[in-house]
Amino acid sequence: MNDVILRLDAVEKHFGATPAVHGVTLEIARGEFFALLGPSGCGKTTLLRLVAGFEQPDAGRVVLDGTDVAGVPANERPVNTVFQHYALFPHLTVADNVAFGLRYKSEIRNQKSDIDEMLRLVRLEGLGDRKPDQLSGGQKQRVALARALILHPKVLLLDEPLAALDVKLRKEMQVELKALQRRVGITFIFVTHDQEEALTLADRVAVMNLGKVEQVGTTEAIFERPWTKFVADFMGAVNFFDGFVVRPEKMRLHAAATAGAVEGKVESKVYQGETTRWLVRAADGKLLTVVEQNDGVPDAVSRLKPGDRVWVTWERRHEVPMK
Amino acid sequence: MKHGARSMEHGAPVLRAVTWAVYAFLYAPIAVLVVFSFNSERQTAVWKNFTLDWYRVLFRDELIGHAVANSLIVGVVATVVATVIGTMAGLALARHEFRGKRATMSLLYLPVIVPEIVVGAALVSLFGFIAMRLSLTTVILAHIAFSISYVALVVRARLAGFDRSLEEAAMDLGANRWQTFWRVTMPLITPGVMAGALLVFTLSIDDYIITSFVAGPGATTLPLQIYSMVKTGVTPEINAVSTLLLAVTIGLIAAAQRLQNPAR
Ligand SMILES: Nc1ncnc2c1ncn2[C@@H]1O[C@H](COP(=O)(O)OP(=O)(O)OP(=O)(O)O)[C@@H](O)[C@H]1O
Ligand SMILES: [Mg+2]
Repeated sequence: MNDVILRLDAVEKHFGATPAVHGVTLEIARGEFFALLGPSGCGKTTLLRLVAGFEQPDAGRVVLDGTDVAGVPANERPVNTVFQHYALFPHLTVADNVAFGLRYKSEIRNQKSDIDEMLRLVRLEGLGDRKPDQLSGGQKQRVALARALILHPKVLLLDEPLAALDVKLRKEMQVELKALQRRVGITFIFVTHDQEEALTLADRVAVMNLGKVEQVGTTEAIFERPWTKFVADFMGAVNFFDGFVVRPEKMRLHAAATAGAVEGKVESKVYQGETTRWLVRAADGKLLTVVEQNDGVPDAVSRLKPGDRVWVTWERRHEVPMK
Repeated sequence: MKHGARSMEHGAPVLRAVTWAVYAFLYAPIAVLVVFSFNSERQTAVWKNFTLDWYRVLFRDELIGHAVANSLIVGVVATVVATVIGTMAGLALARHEFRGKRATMSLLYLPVIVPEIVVGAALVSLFGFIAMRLSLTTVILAHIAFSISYVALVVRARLAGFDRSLEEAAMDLGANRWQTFWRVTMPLITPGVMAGALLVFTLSIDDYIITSFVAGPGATTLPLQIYSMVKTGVTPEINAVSTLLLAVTIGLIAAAQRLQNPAR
């Protein structure tokens, strides 16, 4: 990678005996939208806090734009954070929240117009005089973004910023966030435990488990070519065989015997709108998950019920090798 | 639920009667005191006409004027000093882990529960031990000593619900520890600090027992003055000054309550 903005080098952080971050090495490119994906407790927040300067690594290096930031306090690091629960200052207006960091940045002039422009950018124009408790969740989220972006950080750290929003608003904010990142061109490191959100937003993803990075790659690589069982499982590729894994939506169901098919019985079916999710108990006892598109026209397969015999096929090219 | 509510309704008349009796017992003497402070008859037992004469006498009484001045000096100085020290103690207790924290906590609670007579006796022997002459200064020191705990406890309670990520956010945006404290922490705990200060002022203005131990000559505060006047018989003047003290105290307590639980 030629233009690295952030490099983590064998970073370690333990709390007592538990390793929260364990030997993490990562390189993040300037202007990239990078997602840290993993289950609860895997060390995502701790990793962000190490970059922000709220925690000091026990070992390893954090190199920001070519400078080792060991010992540099949080307030002197050119990174900013969007906190999970926004952490807006309740005693200050929206405009004052957004302006909060400006006075510590001597190089930024013309503050009033900066603030107005930033409020416009996050679509909060006219709300500058409100207090945070007079805002909706989505609006608070935007204030938190504006407050950080106005300082032009080298890296913006976002810790599950959309987790507290309802599904519809969340989808809207995802689109908005992606557009905003393109527009300002700032490097975003986005923490989430939602694989779909990571895929929608990020250019590249690091999947974490138990403090370690299991795989780093483009969203497509992570989704289509997982390296480890954990990553495959976390990305929803749950049909494990000896030496390979197959994604549920790559498998087909048949109501009659088919050459090369695995025979089994329907265990359950769950209608999910666009798709139906089937659980099939194969003759050897293995449980297979198959996701079929719904086309609205009933056929032999869609009429199958739990207990019915069924045949499952897939193509060799969809087998992802796995130890 | 329903059953419980019903049985409470059955008990309601009795409960109400007892409640009123308790209130009457508590407040009748105070009501009498207030009413008779407006009585034109010096004979305290008989009501005659409404008058503000006793308040006029009061404002011309030099001894009382002197005592009020002393009380205000003690109250203001003790409040300022105890609030600053108590706030720092409250912050340290809420924020930092240090050796002897539990012991410090217990020691802070002590002045709140130790009988005042013990505190007074202890202080007077301490002042004797360090050969400090009793004066208005010793009164101020005594009031500071028993007030710090109250402020520390109120501030600590206020900080218990404080969202630490607000301080991290301030640091993240470039503020150092000092700037974070003044721009974020302090504005958010100010209602608690003010409530503590009002409480301390109220305690100081009202205190009799401890003050009586440590007050030197010429350091007579208002409660001491009232007590010495009562010894020669309750006069309408005493009713009047007590009524004023009562009004000030209720006002301060109400203000402190509002600061702690602002109406939404
Ligand atoms: N200050 C701390 N003291 C002790 N243990 C901690 C501390 N912070 C984190 N941990 C532990 O470190 C591990 C990683 O925590 P972290 O908060 O980084 O996880 P996370 O991936 O952000 O999880 P979540 O998705 O639930 O936010 C957890 O086991 C957690 O209990
Ligand atoms: Mg977290």
